[in-house]
Amino acid sequence: MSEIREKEELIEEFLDKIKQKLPFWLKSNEDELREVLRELKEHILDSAEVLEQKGEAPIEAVRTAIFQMGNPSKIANEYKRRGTPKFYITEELWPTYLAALKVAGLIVGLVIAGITLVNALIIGLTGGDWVDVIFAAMSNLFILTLIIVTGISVLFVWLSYEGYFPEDIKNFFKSKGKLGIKVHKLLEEAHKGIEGAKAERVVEIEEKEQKIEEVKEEVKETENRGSYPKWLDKPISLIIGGVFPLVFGILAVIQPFAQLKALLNPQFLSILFGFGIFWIVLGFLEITQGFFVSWSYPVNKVLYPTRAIIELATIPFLAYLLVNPQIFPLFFWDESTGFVILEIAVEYYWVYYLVFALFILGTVASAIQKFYKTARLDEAYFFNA
Amino acid sequence: MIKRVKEFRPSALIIQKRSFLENFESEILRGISTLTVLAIINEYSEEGTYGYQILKNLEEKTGAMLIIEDGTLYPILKKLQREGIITSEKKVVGGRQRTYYKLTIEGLKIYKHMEGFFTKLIESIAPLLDIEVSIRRDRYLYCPNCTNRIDLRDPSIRFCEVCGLNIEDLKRRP
Repeated sequence: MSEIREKEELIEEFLDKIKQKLPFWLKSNEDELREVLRELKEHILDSAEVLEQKGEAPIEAVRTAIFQMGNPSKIANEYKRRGTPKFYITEELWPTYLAALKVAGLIVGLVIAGITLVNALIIGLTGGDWVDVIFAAMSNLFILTLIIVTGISVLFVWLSYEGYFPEDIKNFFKSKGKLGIKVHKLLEEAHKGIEGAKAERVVEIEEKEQKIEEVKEEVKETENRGSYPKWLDKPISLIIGGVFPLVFGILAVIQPFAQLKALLNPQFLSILFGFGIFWIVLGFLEITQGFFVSWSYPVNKVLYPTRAIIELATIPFLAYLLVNPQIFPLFFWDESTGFVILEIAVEYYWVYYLVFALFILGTVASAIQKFYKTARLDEAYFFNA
Repeated sequence: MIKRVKEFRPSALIIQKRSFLENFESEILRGISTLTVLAIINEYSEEGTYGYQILKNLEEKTGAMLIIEDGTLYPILKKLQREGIITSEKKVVGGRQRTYYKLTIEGLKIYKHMEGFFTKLIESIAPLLDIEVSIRRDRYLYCPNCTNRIDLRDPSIRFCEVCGLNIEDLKRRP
């Protein structure tokens, strides 16, 4: 074995030991990893060169230089010492942790709303106890929240211990993308085979192409800033759209017409009251969003999904009305007695079912549309991103 | 080189106290390592310096009393770079690529503050340790507000660069 090769192998073996113990954020960032290892290698060569000049044999000089570098585990561990401690999660990761909890909370809310809807339908059809549905929803909410909060917290404590920063998490997901996997494979080939150099060139070209795409995206974003797209709700339509549920909500909650109230089914009045509360909240949020829509990205990012969740929460009420057509009032005007309230005739129940099924579908569609808008929202559309 | 507790024979100290002392030494040395690395980088403000040169300088300037293990220097440099205190530039020297480090403008201010803070700290605890510390008051002024070290040889400096205190009057005092 030639001397140069033996020196190279000693250094590579040492660098491999360090590489194995490095934190994941560094290992998943190929460019940074290569740079770290290159710098360490340069240091060993510098150190060995001086030792050689002092009279040590070349191989021995490399061995001594490697020894002076210290323990590979210790070196690797030093790269984990990043971030400012804040409880068990670093200050740098704290906003990402909170964002993860919020997203998880949203998912939990949706799952619970879905389960509750199914339960409500079953209870409505089979005539079970509503208290059970509410209790099941609350206990599901508690258990799922507990599991998710614990899981996310443990994950972020580990990430903090590993020295992750938010940008490392982004890079990680980026590297797992289609191009990332391709780049990773090509780099592996580059290290292993005789086609290495060729593969590396391909990687370089792809990386440059990706950078060009990123710059193009940036230019596009800059051009779009402040000019929000057609699908984003206009402030005036939100404000007007919010006034109606707010007014109806207030009327449904205070139920001001005593004479009319006396004629209605008490169960229907209770449902109306519940609906009213949700309408008031929805109307208020819609008007608030109307005032912020053209200039605040974070407000829109929060209010769209919040409104969607509240809309989904009204579904159990609609479901209850759907399965109880006998409580729904039909108003007729009689010249001698004034308003007359009638129940729906059994032969027309199918029309009633159809209408309420469409109401439920419409509510689900409206909520999905809001989630879709949340996902499409981009900071570039807003002045105050 | 100062021998650290962890390098002592197991019988040298009571075992229970070893970990306490090891932690104490690690904590003190971590801060000092950063400060000394910055001090050396500051000496090469024009051309910049690279890892091996930093360690050689440290060994020479401290009479081989303070030694940072070769491998642990680079994580320190990486951290300083991420914080924007130092910046790096790749140069090919003698056919080999080296990374040269320099203090950034912001980094220089931070370094001066750290330097002043550490000096004043040592001065303040000197009586407790029964040692004498001699500070170059003819050359430097230590901001009374934030301990930033201000070079008196530069007449253009009128305000502390860290806290903004007007130091005109302080400069005239004997």
